[in-house]
Amino acid sequence: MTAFWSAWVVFSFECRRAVRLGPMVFAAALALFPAATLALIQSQGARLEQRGEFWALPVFILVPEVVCLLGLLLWATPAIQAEVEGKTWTYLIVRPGGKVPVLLGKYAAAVVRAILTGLVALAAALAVLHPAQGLARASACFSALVVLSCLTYAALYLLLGVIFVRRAMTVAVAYIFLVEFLLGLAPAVVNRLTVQYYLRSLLVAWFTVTTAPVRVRAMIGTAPPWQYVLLLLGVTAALLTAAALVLRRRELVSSSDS
Amino acid sequence: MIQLDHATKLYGPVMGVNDVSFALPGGGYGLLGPNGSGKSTLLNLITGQLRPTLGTVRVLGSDPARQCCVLREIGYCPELDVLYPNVTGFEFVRYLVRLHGFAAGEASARAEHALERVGMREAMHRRIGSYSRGMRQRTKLAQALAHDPDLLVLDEPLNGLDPIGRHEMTELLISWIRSGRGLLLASHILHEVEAITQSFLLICGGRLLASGSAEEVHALLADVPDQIHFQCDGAAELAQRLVAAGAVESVRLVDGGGLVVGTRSPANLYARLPEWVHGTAIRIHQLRSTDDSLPALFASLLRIHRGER
Repeated sequence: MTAFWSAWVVFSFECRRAVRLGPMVFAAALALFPAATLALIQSQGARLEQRGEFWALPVFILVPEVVCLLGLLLWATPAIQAEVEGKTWTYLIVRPGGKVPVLLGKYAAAVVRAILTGLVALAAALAVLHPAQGLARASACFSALVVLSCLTYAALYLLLGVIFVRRAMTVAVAYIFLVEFLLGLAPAVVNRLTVQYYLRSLLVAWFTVTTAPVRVRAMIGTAPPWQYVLLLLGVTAALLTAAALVLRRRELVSSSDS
Repeated sequence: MIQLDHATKLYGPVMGVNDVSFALPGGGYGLLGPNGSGKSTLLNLITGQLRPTLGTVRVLGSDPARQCCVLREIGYCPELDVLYPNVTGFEFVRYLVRLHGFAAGEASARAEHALERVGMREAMHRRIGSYSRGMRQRTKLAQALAHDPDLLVLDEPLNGLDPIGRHEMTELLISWIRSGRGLLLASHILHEVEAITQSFLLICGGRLLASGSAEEVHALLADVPDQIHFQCDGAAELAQRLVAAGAVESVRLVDGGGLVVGTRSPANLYARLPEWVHGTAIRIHQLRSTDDSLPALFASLLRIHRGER
């Protein structure tokens, strides 16, 4: 009970801290980035919405991938690092709940921020594209992808941030480029080790894309979507558990003689 | 209240705390030691932030590193004074009180009361980023007091306070001890601690060198040579006379008319000094004893610890 209460207290405090001019302006800029990019593409006469389901691809890349990843990189990765380097960590862990509720509260706050930003970005992107058919279904599918992307990537970033406290951002950026993008786009079985593979497979399954070329088919799975959803939720739980276990064992102290 | 049994903390090859054992019943205690002596490490062990590499730590009957619920009874004020700059002092204290399980209304009332107790009534709704160091120090103390713990653990709590602030906080801590609750106060300034409590733990190099009342510590030092620094004309002649009279154990001439002597009977030396310099060319401009300063105290205790007495 104490742990859940503490996690809730940390979550509500972090949410209040996020509602300030600076963070809000950044979130707004991030949320409008996909719409601005799509507007630029459309202004060149691309007419994406008239090319079958093809318009879903740039939205997928820009919203659940770029916006959610960037937001979480800034909000989830340094969650613990910021407290340790800001020397406020000590105040939080000498409470009856201990360290894990702090981690969970910060995770929840980062996820909520990223999901809200992602959903605003999605709404703005769809407003620019205004696809003629299936807007409601597209909104629901992309919202689900945003939620799954945020839940999983936040847990992944948090784990990296707990393992590499002093170099959390550097490691997270390197991980995203080397694993999620390079490995994730490799047309080989190894790409199944990335979160992107499952999100991409869900996109293809939910949008019933049938026109994908053969080399693209090697980068997507053909299992039923619910399996991917369960797998992503399972991975999220596993990553969070790992982060909590690592944090419990680590002795992060900000003091002058240690 | 606090019990350490051969507690040792290693940071890799570096010794943070070395085989420390003590048992403190309730009351107020000063943890004295120079900077880097292991005070903060010891406090981190007591507040459960660190686990001992060897030995055990028990606070109020529990292991604070494994049984986090005991932290409900501990109020900790760390030395570092960096707080959230964009949050008000009131929000900060209320946040930490809520982490003790208090509902929002109760936490607000406790935060307000604690901030008033430390003299932050006027400034509590200002952002911490605009606070002076003394105000941050008071806010830190407020967050330690606010949940009404049984034991206060304070690391250099008077740093950065002006003389009035020091007096107010000293009075507050004295009344805290009088209320029957526990206090462990770490400092490197002897008189600061003496004003609050007469029970000391002296730590240096990660080792507990001595413990007890001020009188017991002074009694321990009674047989230890004190160092006395002279600044004078005719230092060599003065050294000659002191050695001839058998009043000193060691003599060292320093450039620029300085003389440092070691004596086991400083009172005798002071009493007979006029007689030794009367009618000579010796002119003493400055005489300084280091026997009351903390570095000398610790140097002497370290010598005792090493068996060099």
